[in-house]
Parts: sequence; structure tokens; C-alpha cells
Amino acid sequence: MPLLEVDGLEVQFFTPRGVVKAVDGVSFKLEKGQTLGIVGETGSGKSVTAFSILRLVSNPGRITGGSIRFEGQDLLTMRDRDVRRIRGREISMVFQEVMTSLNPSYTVGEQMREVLRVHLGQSGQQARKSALDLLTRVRVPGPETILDRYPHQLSGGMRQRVMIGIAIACQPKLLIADEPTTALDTTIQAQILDLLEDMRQQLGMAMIFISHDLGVVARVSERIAVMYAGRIVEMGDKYEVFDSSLHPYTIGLMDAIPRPGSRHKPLQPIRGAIPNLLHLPSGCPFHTRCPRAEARCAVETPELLQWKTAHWAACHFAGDLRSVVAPLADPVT
Amino acid sequence: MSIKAEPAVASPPAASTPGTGTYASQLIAAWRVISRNRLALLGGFVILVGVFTAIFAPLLATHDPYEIDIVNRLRGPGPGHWLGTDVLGRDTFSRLVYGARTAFQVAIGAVALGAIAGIPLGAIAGFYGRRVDAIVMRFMDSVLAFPGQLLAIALVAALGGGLISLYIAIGVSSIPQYARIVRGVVLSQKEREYVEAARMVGESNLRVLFGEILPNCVAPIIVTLSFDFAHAILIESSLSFLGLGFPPPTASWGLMLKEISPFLELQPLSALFPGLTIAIMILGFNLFGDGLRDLFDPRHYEI
Amino acid sequence: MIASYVVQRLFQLVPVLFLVSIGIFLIIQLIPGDPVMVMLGATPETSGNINRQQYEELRHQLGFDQPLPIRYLNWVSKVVRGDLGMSLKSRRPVLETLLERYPATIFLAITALIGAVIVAVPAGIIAAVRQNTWVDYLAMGFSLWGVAMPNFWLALMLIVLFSINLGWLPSIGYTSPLVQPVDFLRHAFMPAIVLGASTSAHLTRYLRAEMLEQLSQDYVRAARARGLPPLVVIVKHAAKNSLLAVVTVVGLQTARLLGGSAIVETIFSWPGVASLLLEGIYARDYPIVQGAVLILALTYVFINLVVDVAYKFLDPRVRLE
Repeated sequence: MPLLEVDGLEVQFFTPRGVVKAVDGVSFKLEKGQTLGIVGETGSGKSVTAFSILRLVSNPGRITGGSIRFEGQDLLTMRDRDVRRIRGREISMVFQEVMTSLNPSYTVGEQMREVLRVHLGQSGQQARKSALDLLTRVRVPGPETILDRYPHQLSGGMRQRVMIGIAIACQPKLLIADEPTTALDTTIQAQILDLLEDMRQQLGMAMIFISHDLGVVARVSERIAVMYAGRIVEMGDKYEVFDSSLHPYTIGLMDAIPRPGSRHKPLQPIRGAIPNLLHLPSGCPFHTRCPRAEARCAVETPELLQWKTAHWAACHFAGDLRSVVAPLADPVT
Repeated sequence: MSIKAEPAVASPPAASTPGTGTYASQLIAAWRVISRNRLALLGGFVILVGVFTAIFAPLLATHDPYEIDIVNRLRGPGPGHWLGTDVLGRDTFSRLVYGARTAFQVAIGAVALGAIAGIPLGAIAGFYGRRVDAIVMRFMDSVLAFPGQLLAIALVAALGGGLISLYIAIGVSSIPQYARIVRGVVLSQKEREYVEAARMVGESNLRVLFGEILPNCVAPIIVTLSFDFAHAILIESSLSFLGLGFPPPTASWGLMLKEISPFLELQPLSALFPGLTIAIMILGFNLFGDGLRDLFDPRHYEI
Repeated sequence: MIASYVVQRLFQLVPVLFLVSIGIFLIIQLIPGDPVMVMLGATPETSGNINRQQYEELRHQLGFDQPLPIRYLNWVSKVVRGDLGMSLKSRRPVLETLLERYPATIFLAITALIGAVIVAVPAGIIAAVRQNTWVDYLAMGFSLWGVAMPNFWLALMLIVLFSINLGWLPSIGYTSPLVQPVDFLRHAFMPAIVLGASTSAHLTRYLRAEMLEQLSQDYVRAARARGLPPLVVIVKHAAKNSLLAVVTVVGLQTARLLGGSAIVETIFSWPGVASLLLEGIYARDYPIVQGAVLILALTYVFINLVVDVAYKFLDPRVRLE
């Protein structure tokens, strides 16, 4: 039984201007201890997918379909109380907004002890000791003094360490990191990535790592899912997806990042802009920007099909792109 | 709670963004947003009814508001007198209709005084900054050191009755509001490029101030005007209720309540309607002001 | 840091207090015509009947035989020493009367404020948490109405209901809460509701807006993601920060309370400073008017100072700068 199994997830936002399908039929599996990187531009639905797993999609958004099974139990049909027992304990989350994700009115120590109290029933000296241990673990210098500090007294990198400390407080089985380094300086970014990777290995956690930055995702993930307009358009083993991309969008993303080896090749940003989710193009949502698009792309929506042992793609021409002749099996579900 | 930046939805039509486009297009955009806000529309409707009543009072009144009819005093609502009569047998409905005149007459003058004094003060303070700013704003602070209603009472006590002194008594307490708003806008606009540009072309200070900067204050001032009207109507009725406004037998909503208050036991309904009228009028201006504020508040454009 | 802030604020107050004192001083000077005549209750027609000696005495007592700046300086130096002059009516020192009646005003204002907060805090929080449900609409309706409704009318309606129809509460009278707390509450019930209604309405609205703002903050989402129970997220996290913001408004709301007390005290015959002000106005007892306005303005300025300092102290972001 996989640790996490997302199946046909649909999330819609009911805005005054119309219904937005933020996530449209996303499916993937995650085994114990595995890492999955989700890549996509703003609005691709990658963060909404992450929030759906904790059932934290809020107004005007609603999960309208699919299932999310965690250790076999469907999180979407679970009672609120039971979901709360999973949040922060079985599944934790680290956020992009390092400056604002801690409450400005409470000390770091209080916000750490709070989680220990709620989930593990710790209090007093015991909770304080656990908090100290956690801070030491996430390599916060001078943990005793940090405990009594308020968030605004810490740097961004330090706050992110604290939040990682809170996230691993109950030794969760799954850690969701939503662009955890985007708001940080480059040098700090590397430190935080290393820290996340170390923690994951020490605790044997599975991790979903969300980023718009392919390079960052590549660094920490074994598997990668590329999202576009609310769907997964390509998914598979990291090396497969990077080295033999099957989807024109992924290829476009790769061409848009500078790489040391290919300095001679000018960067190729993907032409066009992310489509308005209120008025998605018909057929393949990427066809308006796709260099390979043909007439059928505007009519038929390609399904996510398995083309190799560990490689799925949703493109009519995935077979032509590389030397693959036909999909191997049924769509992943 | 919303999830930041997701999903990306079309940005609002440019025409509805404040600060861009012509006045006409701004007004059209404003109307579009307001017409979606039903409470604001209701407020606007109440204001229109109030203004209409004040202007056409003689046509709308069913009786002479000053005609005393002792035999029919303290009547409840009925066919002869829709809303009953007061302690002198005067028709409550007709007195309410004429009371609208009194209320608007005072409110317009008081609001105008507050705005006309406050706007230039704020503009000067913001534009010249430093010492001028400090002096003007300390003056404003000292006006604000008096709770508004109290200031009005004290001023009326000092100046005596009469229309002009009511204008002053009510208007003075709202001067700081206008001054603060205008000062804030001027301060934020002063360093903008277009102002610098206008200065470099050699436009005079006053031209820059009135031509370039002050148009940006229009939106917040309109919002303030709406709330200020509500405030002025409330203070006028309060002063009248305390016997510090117009003398009897003027038809004023506050005075009507004062006159009935010793006779509550005999006819409580006579006290009901003037109060409702005041409350509804104030509610109208407040709702309208809320609607305008939502409209001008940039946050409103997000979904 | 707090200390230096207090000093800075006190320093800022100096020019304000100076201007306030000029304003209050001018109350008498602004009286149209001959202030002395007006204070003696004379109209232009009856001015011939005024006792010449009495006139000169009052004129001298008020310093009208001296130039304006001198008069101001004399007045201020007396005020600073606690000499607010004599009441023209009762012939007693103004300060004595003020001090006698000050507690009633403060007790009523505090009762009204406490009542307003007790209603507004849960109403604002629940309205925000249940945004766009009937609870929210009810709270907002109450709030809109509370702001719009004139307090003197509410007073009359409450008197009709509780005193005239039901006979439950007295419509006039006062006993000190320090002597008979229960009796005080019986008497203060209606005046406090009337005085606190619009404050409560404003606070509800403000708190709701602030709560909505806080509930949309990242730290609230993060707190939920940690599996904290809703009550903890709402009360401990969001509400604490909202209330912090509300503290700043409470200071401004005391303007509403003190301003409104003039009408409320008058209607309910509450023996406070604000009703004294109106008695002074009706009786043309200008020293009383000056004294009452002065003490109310000072109270308001002082409360705002305290609130500002309290806010600085409560918010760790500011406190630890």
C-alpha cells in the first residue's frame, strides 16, 4: 500500500467571474520515504494540490472530486477531527512565506511547544526540552536564546529552520515543502535544502517538494511531476524527465533555465503567457504555446499515459519526441 | 483564507483601477462596482429620497407643520394623520418632511465648512511639510482633543444659536478629517515622478498642487463627505434635542424628540418616528459611504 | 524604549494642550455681545436694569477690564494652580463641583465601555469566522444600526420599554458603585447601553474586519496545517492579533463615549460632568462650562496617551524594537 495515493483530484475556485479549475484530475502515488518534486509556473495548481492533501483549500476554493488516500484512508471523507490529528503529526508542511508563517505575537518557543502539546501531550519542562532538541536538530545556533525570541527578531533563514523544526516535531511520515526556499537568499537556499534532505533521511520521511525552479526540485527529488494549468503533463523518474523529456512544455522549461553545459545555446523562454484559467484553451491546454501543436491538439485533450517504465506524459506526440513507439500501459490511476 | 497567487485569474479591467483613465471612465467604473453593491445602492436611494423630500417639502407635506390643533394632540398613526400628532397636535409626518429641510440645510453648510477649511489646510501641510506641517497638524490635534459632540456643544454654547453658529459648531470638528486625508495623499504623491516632471517644466507650486496632486484626493474626499453628512445630521439632531439648535417651533427631528420626551407615557409612537427617520437617514449616508470606500479600496479588486 | 516613547508623546502634547487651553479660554471671549451682560442673564432690552456694581464686579472677576493676552495668561496661571474660578450660579469653586461630579461620568463611561467590549468581541469574532452566514449578517445589521441610531432616541425607547411599560428599571438617579454596586448597575443599565451602543457597533465592525484580515494571514494557515484545533487557531492566534489592533480604536472610541455622555447624562439625570456642562450652558454659567469642557478634553487626551502606550507595550514587534 503506498503512503499517499492521490486519485483524480479536482479543485475548483468559485470566483465572482466564474469557476476556475485550479486542479483538474491530478493523480499520483508516493511510497514511504520517497520524494516527489512538483514543478510548475504560478497558477499551475501545484500549491493547491499540496494544500488539498491537508484539506486546507479555503474559500472560494473547494475540492470537487477525486480521493486522497493516506495509508489507505481517504482524507477527503474523513471527519475534521481526524484530519486535524494527521495535520502536523503524520503530514507536515513547510511554507514559502517565511516572514509571515509564524505568529508575530508569540515567541518561537511557544509556537513550538504548542504543537508538542496538542499532538504529543507534552508540557512544561518536557516540551521545552523537546523544543530545544528540535532547534538543535535544525541547526539553529544558540537554541536557548532563540526559544524566547519573537519571529520578527529572526532572519528569514532562521525562521524557516524554526518552521522545519515545528514540522518535524512529531516525526511525520510525509513532509510537504511548498517553495520552502523561494523567499530566501541563494546561500541560505542551499543550506535549507541540505537541511530538508538530512531531516528526511534521518526520519525516513516521504517528501513532496514543490517549486517553480527545476534546479531546486532536481536537487532533492527522486521523481518529478510537471504541472500545467491544473494537470500533470509529465511525470517520472528525475533523470528520465530531465534527460529525455516527453512533453514539449517540459522541454520548454528546460530550455528556459541556464545550464553550465549549454552556454552556447541561447535561452529559450516559452512563448506566450500562462492561459487564463477561467478560459482555458480547448483540447490540450498547452497547445496555444506549443511549438509542436497541430490541429488535433485544439480538439483532443491528451491523457497522461505511461510511455516507459517510470515515465508518463500527456501529449499526443510523446511517442515521436523520443524513440518511443507507443504507451506501455493504461493511464496511471 | 486564500492561497496566494493561485490560481492566476485575469487581472481586473484596467478601467476600474483608480488613478488611471479619465474622470468619465472612472465614474463609469465606479458606477459599475457600486451597482453590484446592493447596500450601497440602498444608501444612495435613501439619500436621494432625503434630498427630494427636503426640496419638495411643501408638496409632500399633508398638513401645515406649524398648525396647532390641541384637540387632536398626541394621536397615534391614523387616517387623518399618517404618523400621528405631537403634543401640540401638529402633524408628525409633515413635521418630519420639513425636518428634512432643516437637517439638510444645516448638514450641507457644516459639511461644506469642514471640507472647505480642511482640504486646503491638509494640502498646505502636506505640500510645504516641515514647520508648516507641524503647526497645522498640531492645530488639528487640538481640535481632535475635544470629542466631536462635545466640541459642537461647547461651540454652540459660546456662539449662541442660529444657522451660522450651527455650521461652525458642527463643521469644525470634521476639519481634521479632511486635512488628514488630503495631507496623506499629498505626502504620498509629492515625490512621484509626474509631480517632479511638472515642477521641472516650471509649473508653480500652486499649479502643481491643484492641477496634479489634488485630483488624487477626490476619491477619499467623496467617501469622507458621505460619512460627514451622516455625522452632521446626527450632531444637528443631538444639538436640537438638547435645545441648543434651532428654537421651537422649527421642524427639526431632534427638537421633535425633545418636545415629545416628557410625554412618552402618553404617546410613545410620537417618539418612534422621528428617531427612525434620523437613523434611516444616517444609515443611508453610511451605507453609501461604505460602498464608495469599498470601491476606492484597491483590495476590493481582488477576488 | 517605552519610557522614551512616553516622554516623546508627552512632549508632543505640550503644543496641543496649549492650543486646547486657548480654545477653552476663548469660549467666554466668543460670546457675542457683552459677555458680562450675557452672563448676568440680560438681553439687550433689559440691560438697563442690571445692577451697575454687580456688573463691574463680574467684569473684574472675569478680567474683562484687561487686554486679551493678559487675561489668557491670568486664566492659565490660575488653571494650572487648580483655580477654575467660581460658579456664577452656586458661588462655589468650579473645581470643587467638577471633582464632585467627575466620578459619575467616569463610572458610567467605564461601565458602557466594558459592556460594549463584552458584546463586540464575541460578535466581531464570530461574524468573521462565520463570514456571509446569518450570524454575520445579524452582527453586521446590529452594527450598522447601532452606528446610525441616535443615542437620545435609543434612550427614549429604552425608557418606554423598561421604565414605563415593564417598570423594571429606574429612568433617573445614581448611586456610587463604591457604595451600592447593585443599585449602581440598576441605574446604570440603560445609560450604559445607550452610551455604549454606537461604540459597541463600531468595535464589532472593526474587529470583524480585523479578524477577517488576520484569518487570511499565512500564520493562521500554518497554524491550521499544524493540526491545531479551530478554537486555538481562532482565539489564541487570530483573535489575539485582532484585539491588539482593536486596542488602538478603543482610545478613539472614548471620544464617542465622552461626547455621548452629555446627552445620556442629561436624559437620565446622571450627576456627571457632562450633564453639568449642559446645566452650565442653560444657566449661562460660563466658568462651569469652561471647567467641564476642560476636564472632559483632558480626560480624552489622557486616555489616548494611555492607550497608545499600552499598545506599544502589548505588541512585541514594537516593544522589542
